[in-house]
Amino acid sequence: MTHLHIPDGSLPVGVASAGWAVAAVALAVSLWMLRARDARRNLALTGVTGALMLAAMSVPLGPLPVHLNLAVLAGVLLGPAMSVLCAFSVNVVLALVGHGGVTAVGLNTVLLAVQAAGGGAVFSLLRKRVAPATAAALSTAVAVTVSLGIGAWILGIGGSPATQAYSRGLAAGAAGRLWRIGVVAAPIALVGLVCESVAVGAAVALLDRVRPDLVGGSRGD
Amino acid sequence: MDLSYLDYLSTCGRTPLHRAGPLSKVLLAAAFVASAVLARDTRAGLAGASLGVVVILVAGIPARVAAGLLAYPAVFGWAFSAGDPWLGCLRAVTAAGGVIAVLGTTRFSDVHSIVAACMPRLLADSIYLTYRSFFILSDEVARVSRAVRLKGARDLRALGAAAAAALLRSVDISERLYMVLIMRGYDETVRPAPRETTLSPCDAWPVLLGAAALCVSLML
Repeated sequence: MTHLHIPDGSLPVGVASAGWAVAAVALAVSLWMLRARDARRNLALTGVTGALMLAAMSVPLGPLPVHLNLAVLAGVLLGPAMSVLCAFSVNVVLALVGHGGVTAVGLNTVLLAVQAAGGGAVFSLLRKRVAPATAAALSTAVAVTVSLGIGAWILGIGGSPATQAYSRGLAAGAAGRLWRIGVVAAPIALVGLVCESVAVGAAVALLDRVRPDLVGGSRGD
Repeated sequence: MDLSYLDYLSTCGRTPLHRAGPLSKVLLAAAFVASAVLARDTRAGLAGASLGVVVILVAGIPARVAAGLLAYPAVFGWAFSAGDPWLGCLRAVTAAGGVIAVLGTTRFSDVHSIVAACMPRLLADSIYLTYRSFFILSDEVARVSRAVRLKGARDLRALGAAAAAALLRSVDISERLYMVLIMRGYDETVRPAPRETTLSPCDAWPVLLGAAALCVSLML
């Protein structure tokens, strides 16, 4: 969920550039956080986690036009800093096969990184109080909701002047009609959110039983 | 996602674009993306999209596969365009055509060599390992999905457990991958393939196609 499949040429240059700028700052901060760590030791796990996210994204949830992201799972496994790198890598590979434009990689990195890093951080707070599966499901729900909110803001619902201009354009175009059927879109988003939360919760529950070292924060930041 | 097929084509294809250097092809992709962004009306969009289709066919990607690959961005371009939805659709086909043609004609190790020169090595290595791990993992995911289907488990908990089982295998794979990298002399960086700096006659194809895409956006 909350991966913008917006191709090149659809986003205004200002919005796409702002997305790249924010993503660049997030990546720079992540690399700075990783400078003193043996980050390359986790590089193979980062690659495989990113590949798992790609595999999850390629499987639609039945007839619904949504798919799992497993971004929060990446946050739990890799920690905030490494998960931002993972989010960027996933979006670059997706852009290379036409799933979201190259110009939208910045915004998509921000959205996935919010889920991964934010969800991972919420999970590390909650896991001291509740069971890991519950903590994972709750942190996924929170992270995906925040990410959806940012995604909606980017698409121009009460956003900055740049996105408001984009919003006016959307309202006049085909997507304006799509927005008006938000009555349909909102329940689908809700179902997607529940699916993501349950799936990540179940995955973390199993990991906690079989490889508790992975969800114990030993790899976190 | 047709990533496996595009990867196969990139190593086994025999078109002029396959023989061109990676740098000229990355410039081709950049030109097509710029063309999509700069297209002002449906006429320029249509010319750009036609070139997008041409470049995909020149890359030797079969028409049926190309249609599937271009349909996805076309639909989202139509839905999320600010203004004329058909222009959005055409812009999306223009950019996707250029980018997909490059991925279908260039080995990813060559793409990595360009990428590694433009960003921090840790980031470039992360992209490279994500791409490579996808192929290792996709077989595993297919095997787990088949097992879940055969057992008749279709609820979300089963899906999550299946994802976790695939993840556990992934962790094993990543640990093995790290050991393999160490055994092969991994010194904390994935060495990019040596970059070709000389231009060959085949580089004329991507240069001309890229220039044509830019021209139609700027002049029409």
